Amino acid sequence: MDWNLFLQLLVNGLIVGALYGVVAMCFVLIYKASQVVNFAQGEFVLIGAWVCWFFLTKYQIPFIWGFLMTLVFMVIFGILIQVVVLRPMIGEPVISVIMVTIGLSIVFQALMKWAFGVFAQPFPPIFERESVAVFGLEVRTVYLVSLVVSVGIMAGFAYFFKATRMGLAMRATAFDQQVAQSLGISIRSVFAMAWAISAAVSAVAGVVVGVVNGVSSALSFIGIKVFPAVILGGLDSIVGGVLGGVIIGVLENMAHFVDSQWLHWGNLIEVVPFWVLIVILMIKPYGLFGTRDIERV
Amino acid sequence: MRMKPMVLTAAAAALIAAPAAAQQKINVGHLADYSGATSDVGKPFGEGVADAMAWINKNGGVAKRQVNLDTVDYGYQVPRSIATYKKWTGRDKVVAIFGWGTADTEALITFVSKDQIPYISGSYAGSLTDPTGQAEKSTAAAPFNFFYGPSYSDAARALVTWAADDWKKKGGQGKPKYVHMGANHPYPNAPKAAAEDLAKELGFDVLPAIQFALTPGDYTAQCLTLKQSGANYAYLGNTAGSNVSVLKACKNAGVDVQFMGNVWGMDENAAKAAGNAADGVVIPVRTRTLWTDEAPGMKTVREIGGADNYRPLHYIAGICTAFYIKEAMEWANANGGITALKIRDGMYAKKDWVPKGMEGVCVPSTWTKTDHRPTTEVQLYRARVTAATDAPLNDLIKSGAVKMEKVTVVNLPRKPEWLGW
Repeated sequence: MDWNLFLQLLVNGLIVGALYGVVAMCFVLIYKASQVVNFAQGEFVLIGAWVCWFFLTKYQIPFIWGFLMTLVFMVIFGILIQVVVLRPMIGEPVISVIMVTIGLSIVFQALMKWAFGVFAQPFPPIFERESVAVFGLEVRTVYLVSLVVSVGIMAGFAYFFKATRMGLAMRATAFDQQVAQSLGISIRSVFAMAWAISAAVSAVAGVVVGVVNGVSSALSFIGIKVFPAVILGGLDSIVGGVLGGVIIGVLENMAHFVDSQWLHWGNLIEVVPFWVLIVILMIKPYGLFGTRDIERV
Repeated sequence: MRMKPMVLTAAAAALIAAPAAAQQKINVGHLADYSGATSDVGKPFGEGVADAMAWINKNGGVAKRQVNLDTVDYGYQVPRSIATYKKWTGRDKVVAIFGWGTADTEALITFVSKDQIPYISGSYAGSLTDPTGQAEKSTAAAPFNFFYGPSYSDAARALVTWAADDWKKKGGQGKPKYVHMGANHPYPNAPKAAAEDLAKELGFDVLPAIQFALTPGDYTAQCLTLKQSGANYAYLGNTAGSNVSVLKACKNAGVDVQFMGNVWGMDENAAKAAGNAADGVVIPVRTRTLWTDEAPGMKTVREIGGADNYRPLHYIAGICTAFYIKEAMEWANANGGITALKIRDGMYAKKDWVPKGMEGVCVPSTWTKTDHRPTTEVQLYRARVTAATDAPLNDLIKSGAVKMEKVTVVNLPRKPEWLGW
């Protein structure tokens, strides 16, 4: 057994998993606030990446400013989407709202291809050193920075939900929309806030993946890849989403290790997360940290 | 008062002439991937085909008839390709089809054989090269399938042949190690067995294949495995988009391996996206010239593509593909009429054939009733990236930051046992 490769893949799994966790948080945030699974989440990631790339390459502005402008853009974009497309859907069956998000994903895919083309575009160099050594593995600097940013975002969310009025309002809305509304909470504001935060955080992941691989329409595939992480952690648990991401990241890499060392079956890296997902859902249908829905009849 | 009968007569004449004019058009289908998983290479190739046909129409058409090219972006979805095929053959009565991917082309083999429609794909799978289905390793007959360029298998064989030579030239000790990389999908898998077989024959140690998806992603895990395996030559079976991710991840992981791409695995756009990670990748090219090269046929190519725009290598291959069909149609017209069957016969009419106007650009090709391998000559090029690539492609080519250098030409033997495989 190659322990060096094992360790390197473990480190890689943790780092990539943290990124999955960030995207998973975005799924959870929207679901928690509005009970909607946003199937356009991958496209939010893509839009964030393209917008940042556009600011950086077309206007040649420094990365930090371009990144901040992207976050501002995404906040406005998230609010607009919620107000224009999803607000009229309040009160409609959840399946209708989900179909709207699927429609949005198709529209955004086409729009991005029309606006930016189908060729992958590189980000301009951002960090002086592209990679640093961690346990013998050369890790992309952008991954490490994203790890720090992700932990910061998670801590921010923890504070936001526990200690702020809006956080409390979001929790109350997630618990019961009608009761929250009767207590004077503006459901519309809560929904808009959830979509805005989700869009902005998606942009963080989009920029990281874009810096590593270049930006292309296929980048939105991360939305599908993260889905097992969200379900595994529990659709309505922020902590679950993050942990689910890390677990899926590590699982992928460990499955690849086993396959490359002994089995040689092929794409275990792609399928194992879904196998594990099925097994865990059989034991815990609401995911590892999801709220168990108890109905008394 | 005399105007009225004149106008009525003119209108009646127009009404009669309109269907006749429409009948004169030659209906041709064009399946392209402008938005799907392979759009990064599907777009320049599809544009090459469409622009060439537009140019042909502008310059007199085929035997004075206009080609009505119906381009459909099917997004690399097999069910959509089948639905589009049914429309073309049912309502539109097309006489030829330009196709695209391996999965959809293979799915349509039985349809085109039954309907007897020449189908010129962007897939170069070896399985499409045997029109009789009688060859030793052939799985099925593909009598109406054509493509321009070396088959995936022959291109991979040429790369392996070059690699064996390269290993010797570099003074490599012992057996070099070869590994196939790509998605578990009909297109990357098409040349796998053929290339691995030749690699073994040439003295390579063939390692277990490493899989990665057709979409861009994080492929650090695959690169770490590649590094640990000690491979010397790695074949990238996917299209450019996902190959770019692998090249970048492997560069970062410090993998010291000679990458070899398939025909769709690398081009000027991919070299720009991958930056210095693409430097040194060796790929097969289907034409004898790139956009910046000179040859008599490049005048026509530049007229088609617009002299000021740099066009990637897939675009020129698309033009060649279209011109072969144009000449097959002209032959059909002179020998009984432009029908699907006659166009097929037109593909067999000439030997070592370069379409008129494409001299020095397209590789001389021959299709026969028993062998649909147009050529076994494989041009190998090496991607060179020597500076930052965050500028428009035109500028990068002009400055020389991105270029494709010719490495060698491999002339493979036309072995009967390689037919259909």
